[in-house]
Amino acid sequence: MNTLLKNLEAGINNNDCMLMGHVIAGFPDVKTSIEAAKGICSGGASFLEVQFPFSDPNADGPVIENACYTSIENGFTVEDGFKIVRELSSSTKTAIIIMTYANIVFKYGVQSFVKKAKECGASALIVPDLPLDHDEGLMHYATENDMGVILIATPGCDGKRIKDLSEKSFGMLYTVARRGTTGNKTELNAETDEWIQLVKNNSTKPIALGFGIQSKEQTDKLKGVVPIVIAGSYFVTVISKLKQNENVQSELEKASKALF
Amino acid sequence: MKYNLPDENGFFGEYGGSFIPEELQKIMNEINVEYNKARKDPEFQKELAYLYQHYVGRPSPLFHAQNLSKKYGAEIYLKREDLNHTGAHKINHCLGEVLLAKRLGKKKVIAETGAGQHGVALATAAALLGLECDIYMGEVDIAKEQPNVIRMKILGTTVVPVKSGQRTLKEAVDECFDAYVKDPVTQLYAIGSVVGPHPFPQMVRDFQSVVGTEVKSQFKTQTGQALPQNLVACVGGGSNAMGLFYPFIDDTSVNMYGVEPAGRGTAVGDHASTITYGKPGIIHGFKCYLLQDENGAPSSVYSVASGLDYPGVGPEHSNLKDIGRVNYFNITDKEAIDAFFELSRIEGIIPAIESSHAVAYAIKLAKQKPGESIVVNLSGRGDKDIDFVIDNYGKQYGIHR
Repeated sequence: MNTLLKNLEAGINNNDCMLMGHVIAGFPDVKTSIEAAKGICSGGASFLEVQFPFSDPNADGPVIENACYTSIENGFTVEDGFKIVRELSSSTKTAIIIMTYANIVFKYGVQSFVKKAKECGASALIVPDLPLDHDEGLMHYATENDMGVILIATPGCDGKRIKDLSEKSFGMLYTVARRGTTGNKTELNAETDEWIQLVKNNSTKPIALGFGIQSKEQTDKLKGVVPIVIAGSYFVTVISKLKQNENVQSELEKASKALF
Repeated sequence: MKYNLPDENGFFGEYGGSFIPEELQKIMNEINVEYNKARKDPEFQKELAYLYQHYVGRPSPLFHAQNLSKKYGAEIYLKREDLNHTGAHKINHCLGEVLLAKRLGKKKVIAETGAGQHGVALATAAALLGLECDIYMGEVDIAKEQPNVIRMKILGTTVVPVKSGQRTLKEAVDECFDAYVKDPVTQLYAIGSVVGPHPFPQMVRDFQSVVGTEVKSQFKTQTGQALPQNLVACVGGGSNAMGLFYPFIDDTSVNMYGVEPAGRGTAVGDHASTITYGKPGIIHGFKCYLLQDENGAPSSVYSVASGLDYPGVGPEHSNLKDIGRVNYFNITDKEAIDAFFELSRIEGIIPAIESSHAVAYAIKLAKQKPGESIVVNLSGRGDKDIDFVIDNYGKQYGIHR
């Protein structure tokens, strides 16, 4: 069974509040990004996004954008990304999700990219700029390979669109808490409550809520509201602030546990 | 068969489309719906036509450059977009975009700019039509292009300095995109060329097609011939070229030439000849020819003309290349600078360095096709470039400060 579906089922059955972590492949270098990812996984993440950096990440804010630039400047290749995914999926129980942008997949060849992802043990794909109806065959090939594409619902979607997205999304519906790019803190106010409620009322799949998660205080408020919380820029910030000689894996494990 | 692209999803053959996050898709759909209403609304077209005539100064002249023609052996005509208010063709689509923004009830237009030409044109249109305007510009470009920065500020625009990465055009696009995603409700991102997600490549082309439409009737009036034999325009993103070419696409007797910047060499990072050397890719929300490495990362680009150094190109150009309707060639920095001085000295017209690429190719073409008619889109004037040209090339032409 696909690891993502397995972890999701177990978490839902236990009524857990599950964590989706995030690393930038090759940031600050390949080795450190692997150790950091392992730390996030051993700290309790059920899911981990491994982002293959692209130079124009148009759904991301400055924290992730700058990490992507660094990785690219240091010579990141798509093969490095697959190497990282292979290492993580074979050494952890966390479901590994490849997140990237359209041109990385398109240039590699959509079908080849999906096959390679599967072969390296990835459970799912997220490509924010390959839209549902014009995705260059991404979903078709993913389904063929016992994987799936996780789709993203953003404020402004109406009930019908939420329903459509959730039906086609793999396992869960990635839900963005507020407008804007990644990384800014989200206030959990009446407006976000209303949006989350709209998604809950219309989604046919469990909700993974993302953007701006930085503290236990926030995740406490979300317990019982959504089954999965996503922390992206939070982890990338911790990784960017690592000092020399620090044990990367244990620092990230701490950061992961600190959210709960 | 009549040319009728893009299709309903914004594709020109396999290029174009709308490769953007869900959040922006909804907004693009709204813009598309409203644009299609505006396009068919006589009131909207009337207002735009009025501004073209009385504010921009259209129709711009079609000038028979007799000295150039005599010297190189073909009949060369210059479409004088350099004489428009603000000195380039950009004002044509900026007025259209700002009128559309008003129609959509937006309070503000935003855009990125490299050298500042699109920024100044948008700032001008926003000032005229009473909208706020934010222009995102890299700090490096701000330092280099002070006169345009000052112009925008005088026009009441906020120039937002971009401090990330290389601090030039690409980062300005990214930051403008961020600002747009944060608030797509009260703002409109007025894209500066025939690029970006659907409907922008179509919309900017339509607003620019006034250029080709005027050429058609001017050429006939002046020469008594139905159609010119050749059209030449420079291509960065490709807005001025699409403006000239589009009304002639079904006129198969007309040869069309898009001229890309060959820069200072053929190595990666030394040119911006996207169609010549690129491969299909997806950038900034659309599919097109793209200069990129084997990992799919856009390559760094260079041209002496800052308005041409873009790693992608309009999706419609990408398709016109594939279907063979337009020929694409490139011109080096040196050839462009030579043409800059040539046109200045024998016709008394100082062209923008961007447009100098088109002039340079027209001169080559004239030698190959003696006696034929060639219409060149002289898309902008060269005032903005004189300091740069004199500092870097003055000596070779006997000019000292």
